[in-house]
Amino acid sequence: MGVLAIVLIAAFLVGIPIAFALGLASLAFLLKSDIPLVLIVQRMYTGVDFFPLVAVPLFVFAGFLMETGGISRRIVDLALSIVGPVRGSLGMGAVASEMIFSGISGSSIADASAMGAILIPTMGKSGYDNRDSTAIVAAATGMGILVPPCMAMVVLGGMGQISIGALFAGGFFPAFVMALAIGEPWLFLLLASVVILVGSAVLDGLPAIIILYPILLPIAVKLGIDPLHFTVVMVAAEGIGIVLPPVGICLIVICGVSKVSLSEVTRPLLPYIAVMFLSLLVIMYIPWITLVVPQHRKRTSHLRGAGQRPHRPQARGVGHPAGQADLPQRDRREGLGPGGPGRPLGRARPALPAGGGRQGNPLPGGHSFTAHGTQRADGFRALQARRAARRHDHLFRHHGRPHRRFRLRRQALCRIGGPETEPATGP
Amino acid sequence: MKKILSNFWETILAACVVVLCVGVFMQVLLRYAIKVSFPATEEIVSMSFIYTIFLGAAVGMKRMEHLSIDFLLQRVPPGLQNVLRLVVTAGTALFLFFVVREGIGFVRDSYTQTTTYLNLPMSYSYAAIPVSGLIMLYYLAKRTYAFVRSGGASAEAEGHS
Repeated sequence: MGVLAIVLIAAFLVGIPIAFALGLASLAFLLKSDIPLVLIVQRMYTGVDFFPLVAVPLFVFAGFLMETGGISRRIVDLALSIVGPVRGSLGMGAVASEMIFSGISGSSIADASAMGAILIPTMGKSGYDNRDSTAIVAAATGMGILVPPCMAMVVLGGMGQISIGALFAGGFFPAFVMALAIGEPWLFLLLASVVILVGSAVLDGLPAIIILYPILLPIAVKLGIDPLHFTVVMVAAEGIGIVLPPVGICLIVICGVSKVSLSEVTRPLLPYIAVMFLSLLVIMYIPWITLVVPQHRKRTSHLRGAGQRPHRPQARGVGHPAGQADLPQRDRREGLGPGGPGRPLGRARPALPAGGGRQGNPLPGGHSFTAHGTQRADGFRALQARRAARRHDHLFRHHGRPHRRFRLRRQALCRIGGPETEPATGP
Repeated sequence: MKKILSNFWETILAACVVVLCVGVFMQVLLRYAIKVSFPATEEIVSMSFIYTIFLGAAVGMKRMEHLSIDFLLQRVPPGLQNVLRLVVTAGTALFLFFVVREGIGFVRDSYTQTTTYLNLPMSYSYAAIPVSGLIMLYYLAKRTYAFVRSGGASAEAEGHS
């Protein structure tokens, strides 16, 4: 492995284009260890012959269409008029328009070039220093990667057999956390010290994540980390990585647009990176931020029936038993075993009785989901009781121990709500 | 006509992207509208995707748009800079040489494999790699020739700023 690292670092330093430096390093390694060189060509082919990667050029293409067609300009106008009256609005407007734009496009590079081309001159006219505006747009781009749709999520969802719809939903709140953090100036002062930590971590966009993700995901799953949450955290980390000097690809693109050199933008960018790192920590340690939206989606889609579940593409060559691949994500996760005390992240869930699943009675102790979501004209009290019952079931299912108040209302509901809300009497 | 010729690879690349877009769009539309998908289209799409990637790499070489870390390059005296540029060229050329050599062998060996639905030889899409390598070598040689002739004085456009 020594040859690999030495050649790679030397090639990077000399300035050999990154793609060829990677190839050269593996070439050196193969030559040294007497492996047939045809492996290079073979791996080059299989590396790109992965259908979800089609999302990359198509998202970039969509981004450039939006730029040429004038959608981007209108998005900036919209964002500026929304945050208009607030002080320091242009910086926040930049962040807001980046959020809207990446909410439509899925490519950070397209975001970077489209938004940079419009925002940086606009901010320059209002007296922003070119370096500062470059830094703000770069930071916003790093955040924008979490706003669905996003090509990293498409690719990772394909690799990890995770519902891409759920990933998109999960990225939503973390994106807001990041957006608020970038808009909130006092946070940078607080966290300027974290910068040193971040500076050493050099990530490099989609290739790095494609290489690392398959290694890390099984470990994460084994540790009891929700794969959905883990993937969103990975994407968030990538978001920081792509704007991290000196190799962050989006930073390089934005610098190209604004004609500011990498070393000039580094200093104004550092506080933003610190804040983004903090938000990453927050997202990391509070899985709720990630999981609340997909769980809600899944809960309702579960009750609405099988037809409403998000589309899950079948990645090739991954041998899930057909029946298992059809279950919703949550049920598959529960197949990993009950949450023991060794779960550092994510919540421990009560072990379900065997045979519990979507078809059977999902809750132990004779509890069942109520048939909410349907309109019934039986008065406000019944509605209230049903709502409490729903909350009770949720708490019971996910935390094992609902509040006493909800339990009482759960019982009340059985009196009010009629026979169909009666708790089932066990399987 | 002259314009098409000078942008020969770009034209082919654009055609590949068009095929890619139309193909993917059709697939998505058909899958959602009539719930039928054609594996044949998928094969065409994936082949044009492969060509998009490798021709894109070739065009990137022509336009010097391959991403590199020019941190050191910006900070050394001009004389050393020229030396470094030659080292970069040599390193890139070395890798491309092996890619082309092995790629040709790879294509030749896989001539009997065919795709599942269209029965096209797999070597049609494998050929993208050596072809792209050759194009890149050509542009690399062309640029190096110009660079050496001008005595290294030409401040060639960097891959990125």
